[in-house]
Amino acid sequence: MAAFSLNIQKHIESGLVTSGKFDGSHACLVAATYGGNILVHSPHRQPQITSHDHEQSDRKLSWSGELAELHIGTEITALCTGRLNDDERDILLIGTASHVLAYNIEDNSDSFYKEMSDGARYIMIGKLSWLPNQVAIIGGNSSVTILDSQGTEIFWAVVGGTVTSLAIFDFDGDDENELIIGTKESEIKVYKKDSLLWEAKETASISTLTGLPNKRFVYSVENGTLGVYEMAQRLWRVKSKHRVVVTRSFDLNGDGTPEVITGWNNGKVDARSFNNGEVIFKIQLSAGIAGIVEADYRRIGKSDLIVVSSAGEVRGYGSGSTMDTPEPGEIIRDLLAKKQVLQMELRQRGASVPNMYHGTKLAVSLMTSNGAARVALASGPGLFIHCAIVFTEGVFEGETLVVHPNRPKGELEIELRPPKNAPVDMHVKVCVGPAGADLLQVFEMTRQLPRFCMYQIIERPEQITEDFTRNNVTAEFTERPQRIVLWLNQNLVLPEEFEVKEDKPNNGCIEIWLRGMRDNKIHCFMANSTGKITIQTEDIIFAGDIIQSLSLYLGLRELSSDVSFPAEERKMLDALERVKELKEIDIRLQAEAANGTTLLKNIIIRLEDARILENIDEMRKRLVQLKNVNVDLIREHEIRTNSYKELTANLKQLNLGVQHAARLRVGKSASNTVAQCRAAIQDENSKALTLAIRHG
Amino acid sequence: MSLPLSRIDYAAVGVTSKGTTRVFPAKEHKQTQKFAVADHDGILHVYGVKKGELQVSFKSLPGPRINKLVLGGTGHDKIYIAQVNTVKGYTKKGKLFLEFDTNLIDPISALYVLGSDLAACARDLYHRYRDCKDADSYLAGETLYDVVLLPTDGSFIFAILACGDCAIRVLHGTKTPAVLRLPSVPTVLSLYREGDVESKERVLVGTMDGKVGLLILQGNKTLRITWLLNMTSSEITSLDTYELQDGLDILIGRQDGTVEVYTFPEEDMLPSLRYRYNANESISSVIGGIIGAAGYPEVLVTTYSGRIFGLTTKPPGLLEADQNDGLTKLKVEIEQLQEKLKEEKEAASFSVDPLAPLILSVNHRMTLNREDVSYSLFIELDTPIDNILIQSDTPIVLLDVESNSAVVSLSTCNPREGNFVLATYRCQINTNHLEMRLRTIEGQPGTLQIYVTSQVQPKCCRKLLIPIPALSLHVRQHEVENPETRTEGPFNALRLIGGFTIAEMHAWLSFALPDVPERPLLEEGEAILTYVSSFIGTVIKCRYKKGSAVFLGENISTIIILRDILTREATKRKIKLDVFCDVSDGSISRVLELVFPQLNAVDDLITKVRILNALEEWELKENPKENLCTEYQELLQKESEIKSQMAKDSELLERLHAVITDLYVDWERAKRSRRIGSKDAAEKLDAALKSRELAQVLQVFVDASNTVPASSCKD
Repeated sequence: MAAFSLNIQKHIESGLVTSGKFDGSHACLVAATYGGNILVHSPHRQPQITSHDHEQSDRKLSWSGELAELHIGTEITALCTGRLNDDERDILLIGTASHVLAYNIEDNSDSFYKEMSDGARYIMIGKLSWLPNQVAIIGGNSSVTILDSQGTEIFWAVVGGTVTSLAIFDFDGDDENELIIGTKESEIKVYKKDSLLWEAKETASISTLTGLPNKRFVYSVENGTLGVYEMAQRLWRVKSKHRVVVTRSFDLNGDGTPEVITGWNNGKVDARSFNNGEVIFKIQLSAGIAGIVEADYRRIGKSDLIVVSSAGEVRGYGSGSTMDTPEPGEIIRDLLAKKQVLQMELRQRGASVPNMYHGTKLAVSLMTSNGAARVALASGPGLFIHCAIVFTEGVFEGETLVVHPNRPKGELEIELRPPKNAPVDMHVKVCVGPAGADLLQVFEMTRQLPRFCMYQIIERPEQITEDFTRNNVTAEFTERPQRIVLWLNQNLVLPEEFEVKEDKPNNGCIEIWLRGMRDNKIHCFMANSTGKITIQTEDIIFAGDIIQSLSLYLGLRELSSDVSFPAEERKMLDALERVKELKEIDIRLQAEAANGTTLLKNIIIRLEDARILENIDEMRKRLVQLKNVNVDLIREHEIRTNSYKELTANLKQLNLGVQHAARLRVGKSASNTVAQCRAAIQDENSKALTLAIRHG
Repeated sequence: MSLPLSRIDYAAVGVTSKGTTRVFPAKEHKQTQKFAVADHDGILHVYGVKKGELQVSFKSLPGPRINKLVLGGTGHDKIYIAQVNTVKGYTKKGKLFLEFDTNLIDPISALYVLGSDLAACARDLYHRYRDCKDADSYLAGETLYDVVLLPTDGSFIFAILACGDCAIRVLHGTKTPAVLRLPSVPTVLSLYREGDVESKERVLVGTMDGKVGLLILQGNKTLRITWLLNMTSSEITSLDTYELQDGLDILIGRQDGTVEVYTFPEEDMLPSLRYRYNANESISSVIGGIIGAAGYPEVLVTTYSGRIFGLTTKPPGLLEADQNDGLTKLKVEIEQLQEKLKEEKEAASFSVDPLAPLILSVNHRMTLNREDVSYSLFIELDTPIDNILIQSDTPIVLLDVESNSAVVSLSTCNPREGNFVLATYRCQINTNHLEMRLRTIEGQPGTLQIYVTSQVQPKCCRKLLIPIPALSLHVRQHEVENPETRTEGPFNALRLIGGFTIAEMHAWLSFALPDVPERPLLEEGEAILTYVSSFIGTVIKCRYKKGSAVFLGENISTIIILRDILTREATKRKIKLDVFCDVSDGSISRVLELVFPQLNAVDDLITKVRILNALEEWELKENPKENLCTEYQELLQKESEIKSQMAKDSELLERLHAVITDLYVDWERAKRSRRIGSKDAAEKLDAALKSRELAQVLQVFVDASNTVPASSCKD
């Protein structure tokens, strides 16, 4: 089955495998191994006649046979190969927590080395529709940066979370490539230039994204879900108990359309039809999959699919390699199974029914009280609820919440606490039957929890502090209050439908006070008859959620707003200040580390000298020195990592702040805010930053 | 895998029990044979293939579920079925010629007919009838899984019983039975046959842990067993011998859905695997015959949900052509059914509420794996499973099973509401059975409630209750063949005196111990049970009679657990008990001696794995010969072995420590009448355990001064 297989016998870090033609014609495999090393496997490499680059410094590639190693020395977070200019040789991009290194394997030299303060979590090389050349796109802890072939930054955008995956493909069918970003905060976003085309919220951290033809893309999620979207519609998804490491599209059966190839952490690789997710081929490796790449590894003129396991096993599969043909009798078996299920269903329907079950219905109601959104269930007379299972994702740790009362009950309440303001689809199964029965009826229902179900409506509080009123957002929606009320009814769990009171003196005005049940904070939502909306809240994220949800409901493409969040502003300014300081500290620490290294090198040379001279005492002395220097270095390193951690945390806070400010606006106004804030942060201009937050 | 077989599907009936499919002998050599199947709907079907098409030659009316089907009469052309406690006889044409109420109280679980003799087993009782009149009976006191009758030269008959206490019993008239002990429970007996000739002295035996043996009975003197397959695997559910191609084969059906064909070995040879197939649901019968096409022997397989298919020697190329007719017919049938269903659905909206169907059969079994001291829970439904919910009112740990593809999700739960574990297994499409593994904690008895929901609409769910006894990790010991091999004791003794009957004490014990026999085994008015802990190997002996009971245990913890359970049960029934507990000082060192080798082995293993990980981290695994010392070289060679051993039970060390901690707590309680928390105990033992010195740990036990002040204790 496998066209070829070999074993590198090295541990390969999962997800860090790529391939490229570094001399322009021969395919090589590149993978990250332990301890920040990069392994290059080149089966077709011409032996070098002279080793002219011996004298080069220590981070260079050293070949031994087909394998070469490149020592980076710090943890590698991303790998990518591709071409950034007209040179037909591929370049290798290596991302670490603080830098991006572009490396030219053939020349054995750096192409550029660029500091990325936000880290490089994922790197992708490709052609975006709004930029003339091939570019490198780097996803960081909370932003996306685009570099050109010289390593110069040409684009920057803030993303509301750590980027875990990127893909470049035609999302909307206009024959131009869009950028799609997946984040740890389980969001998928599609960008065209700096406008957000589409976004979706998945159930857990996104692990991979791969573009497919026909406006489709594959995504996979940390909790084992794999699925395909076409435009904004999900075609299918499957869930497994294992985790997806890599997805790729490849025409494995040779029928002209590519399949979705998935590598799992348990060593399984499967190929699925991208129309319906049906598995057409699968293999099992002994160790978890580290990566799957496409490369012409046999030099046959077309690409093979190459699977690399974390234990270093490499297997190649050609396109159109033999597939399992369906066994004879398969059709008849399927039909028989179908028949059996139909018979069973008929039987279950036809089974005689005790009278007491007649007309049994389950009463369901949704309410918000006592710190949670509650689904209340009540069964018919004589029947009891034995247990209820709620299937939903992103609300609790697993995918289910089971409510199992001590003994069957007539009424049951399920408490739900969605952590985020997003609509939650839930599927509830309730087992109902008489007490002591072992055969129970299962009622199934699908409900959607409204986006703001964790907010309870309250009376206007007696006392409102002055600080509270200072936090507000005002925006002109220019919409009839009736439509806003409709939105309110849809997005909140209200004891009764809310209506606009037209007879009161403040004609057509809406004023609602809400209490958030996660933190017990009070929020106020006001709208007047002209559609001017004011949100008074201390929670900038909540305000952003409301603005986004409302403008989506009303179909607004542009919205600007006036913002006042003194506390939030202060936090951002503090973070800006801190970043400034930390950067200085980092430079100082780097200098110290360099000193330490020089000292270390000197001592080692002395030690070697002593060894050659067989001077035992001197050796001992040097070793003690070495130990002391080493201790110092380790301590310094710890200080540096701590300071670096703080730096990233502060940067992230800044970026998040920018994101929050942008979410209070829609369209052009939002992207303007981002640009203004970014400029202000780069200039370290706190005044400009405040202005940008307030007025966009 | 030298035998190419291809699957051909015949029909689907209702849910079937084990051993409810039989093939009639061929009228002519190499011609197709008819076969009979009986299901839980109480329907008996007789099928035959004519002109390449499967035809029903007879179908009975529905009735109570049929547990067993055997053939009898001269030429094996009469069908006998066991329906609850009635045996019915049908001719091949479908004429009812016998309806015989056996008067057994429990439903018949095993049946055999030989000439005019009929043997029926119900629970732990064997009863033989001759010409429908009582001949003899035997109360085994253990679950009887299967029975086979063998003729002798005279008018006598041998009855071979597969018993739940890991024994084969051979009855000869009313004499005391000959007993042959096996290492595990025999579940299936099948007469050895060559073609239509059935052996008079050889019987195939299949066991619960997947082994196959050949039982040879010579006269009424010698009884011996040779193991043909001696590997632990999934439970054997059906066995047959048949010549498929070139020589005799053993056909094996297993609970996990595997069908296997092995060559029947010559003397001193091992059978070789010729074919293996997995049907994805448990097998209820495998039997050899010529069914589908004349001249092509095949294995006829019936599954739990009632699918009947053949694994035929006919080449697949020839099969395809045959099936086209059947295909169109099936499609028409499906259309009709869909039409009917549509009608029903429309009708349902105003008349019948689709509730409480009478079917949804769950097949389950929970067995203790002695190797890693965990329980396997096997659950099977006759329709595809949607999800399984496990609720436990006692702490258990659910373990991952490689073959189980369901998505597991642990829900948050509140132990104060009696929910220690709430886990859902959401199954992939078309899953009929699921295997789960779980680990129990001794001294924490409880009940598992399992809700199995089917995928078929209208959705229903079946609730199962599985009790977890307090001493869940103990296994029953049967008479030890050579008692010298193992030294036992010293024992701690628990004596109970009170107004209980032997049956009451037996019932109470079944709350504390697993696999308690159906009835107390009496020897001179006294019942004896022996159990051994599969985890640490300590023994507990129970002897009880009317009014008094004595329990001897090497481990003081088990004695304390027993005491708690038994006194609780007695209090529930308002029976006064006098409790005497003698603690033997020597028992502590005995338990520690048993635990320590394991403890050291695990500690060793952990160290090794740590070294291996470090070697990998530092990339020192290449060229071990040049770079590493011999010790590490050896480690590297055994790397996969060591890692798999570690993966098998990663928490073994904690569990062993917990055993010692419990021992300490119970020791304090029994010896010094002091209660201390396990946390305090663990703290005290910590240093000693880290030293890995038996003497030091023992010192902690002996040293009374370092215990907590007596003021905080009461018993």
